Amino acid sequence: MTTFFAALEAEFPQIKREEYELFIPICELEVVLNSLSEKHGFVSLCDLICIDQLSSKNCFVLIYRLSNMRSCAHLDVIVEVDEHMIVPSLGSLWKNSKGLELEVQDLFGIQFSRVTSGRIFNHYKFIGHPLRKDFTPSSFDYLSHSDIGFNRPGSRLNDRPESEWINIGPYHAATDSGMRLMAQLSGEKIINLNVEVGLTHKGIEKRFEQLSFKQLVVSSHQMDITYPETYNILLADCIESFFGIDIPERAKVLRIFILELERITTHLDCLSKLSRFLKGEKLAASCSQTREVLQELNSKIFGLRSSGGAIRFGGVTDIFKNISIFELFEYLKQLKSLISSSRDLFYSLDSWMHDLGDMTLSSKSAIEWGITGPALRASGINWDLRKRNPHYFYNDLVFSVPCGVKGNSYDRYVVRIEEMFQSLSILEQLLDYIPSGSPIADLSSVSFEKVGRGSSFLEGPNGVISVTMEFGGKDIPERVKIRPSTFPMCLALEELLVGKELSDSLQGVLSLNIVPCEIDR
Amino acid sequence: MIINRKIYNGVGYLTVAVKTLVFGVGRLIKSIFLLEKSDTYRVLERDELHDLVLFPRVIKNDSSRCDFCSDCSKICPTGSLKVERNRVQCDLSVCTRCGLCLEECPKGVLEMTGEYSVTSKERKGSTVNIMF
Repeated sequence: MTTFFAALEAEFPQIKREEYELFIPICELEVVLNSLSEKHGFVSLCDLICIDQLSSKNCFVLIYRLSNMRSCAHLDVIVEVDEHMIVPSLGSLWKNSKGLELEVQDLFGIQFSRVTSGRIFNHYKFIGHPLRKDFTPSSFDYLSHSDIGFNRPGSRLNDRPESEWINIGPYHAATDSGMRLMAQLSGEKIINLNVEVGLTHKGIEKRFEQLSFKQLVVSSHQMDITYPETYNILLADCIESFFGIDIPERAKVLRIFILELERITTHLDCLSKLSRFLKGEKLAASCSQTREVLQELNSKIFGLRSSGGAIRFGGVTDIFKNISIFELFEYLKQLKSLISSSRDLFYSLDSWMHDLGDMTLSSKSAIEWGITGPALRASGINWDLRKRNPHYFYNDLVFSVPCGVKGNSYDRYVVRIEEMFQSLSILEQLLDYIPSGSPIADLSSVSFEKVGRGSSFLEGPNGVISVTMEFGGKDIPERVKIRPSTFPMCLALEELLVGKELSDSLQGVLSLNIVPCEIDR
Repeated sequence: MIINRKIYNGVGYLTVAVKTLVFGVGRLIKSIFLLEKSDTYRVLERDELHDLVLFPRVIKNDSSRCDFCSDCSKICPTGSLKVERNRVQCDLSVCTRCGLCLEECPKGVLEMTGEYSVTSKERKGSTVNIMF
């Protein structure tokens, strides 16, 4: 690690080693990023963050967050951009940069050189850029719907008169809530694809700028359906690490417990969706039986049938108040037998190995698109943030990281099923050692006067999720940027699906488990 | 065989009129004599609720301790709680059951409960009076 940064310092003397930051002027952007990606191994672009500082510095701040997967290092390359400047695009370096640049263009109004004018999260008739500080929603605008997605600039609609457009979604068994695929077919093959995700734009990042830390941590569960508490933990962890709040050991153990419980729920949901799609009735019944046990456990722990409402700023509520350890062990034993029965069912269905053999994601393209989580591990790369950069007590736990070989849809399901067993073994290890005491830290003496930028990373069920927050000396954040785990997969769909037959490709979309409501934040 | 269609229809109308009279007057008399019972609350069982209609409520027989400081409505992230001069209301369609208000209440008079008022006097749409 030290030699790695020494080599960086020799080339860029202005680098800040403690904060992993590099300030450069805008004219050097392309040259510096090119040399970082080629010489120093920053192979993937994690995130592109934009912060509005028009009132104080009269500029926007753009942060390119690069990651070096071998040494698990992150580097923030920071440039200051004028309002009317055209920023160079980086489409030749990283494949996902086009989508990230389109997002910034939509929400902030910064122009990029090679990105076509258009919107990704907002309606095409929407006026203004909602994440700028000077934007005020004027009134209730009625935005009518039309089939604009079919006639986007760049689509080759008129080139081939024999081809046909077909609409899939937004509410379809293959696409989860609120994602719409528009495919141009020639025969049965897809030759062109448009993906639309901006159907349920919540504006949650704008809303976070008005909530205090206590409210923000609790209300971030709206990010997702099956893993809401993972986002609560992520945001709480970001604020706590920035202000140096030490949470009790009991809270750390309970947080790992909740994280792993939600991982099992998500993978189980993904498997049951597939079995319903491919008409595997017995597997679907087995999955819903398991889900019923999980919901019973949730209602004992959280007081609700789904998980939620347990994470607080500075700790966790006492979730084991209404349940004994012996009862928990019994539930885990029940879950293990049920999940192993559904695993046996899945492996006994030989025809599915052929059905799910399509949509191969090679390891190289997975890294270039910035895909993480089970989809990356299925393509053969042993990369898990719980092992690489252990959080809380993950260092002391014994578990292995299941990996795939081919990177097709079948491998992704196998990885998910095996990960459920690893999570179950983690839960059992946690129950052996639960520290006593209060699970919430005392926050009475904490002052929120520190100014700066903090970020946090977590291995979520579908990949790495991260958050970056700008603090301005109050108990309200200036800017919150969340990087959802499935956004790169959504961008990669255009490459994955083009050239495949339509009937084979929809199971592949399911296997990625894209969650539109977390992308469309 | 119908002898006279007009008589046949008339008999039908007459029965309808008599039935409405009997039931209408009966209800009126019932509501006059049993006025007290319409204001009571029905306590749903835990199994009946499916854990979905839990919402914050001022503890029964403890409402005198609430001094309407509106700390609970200030902390609520979704703005579901409303505190007026002598009543506290919760919008169940907005409430996410996070329980921050229970922790923030300085006197500890709030609790999470499944007791749900069925009468329309205490409930308007999804907004429920949580102070009895």
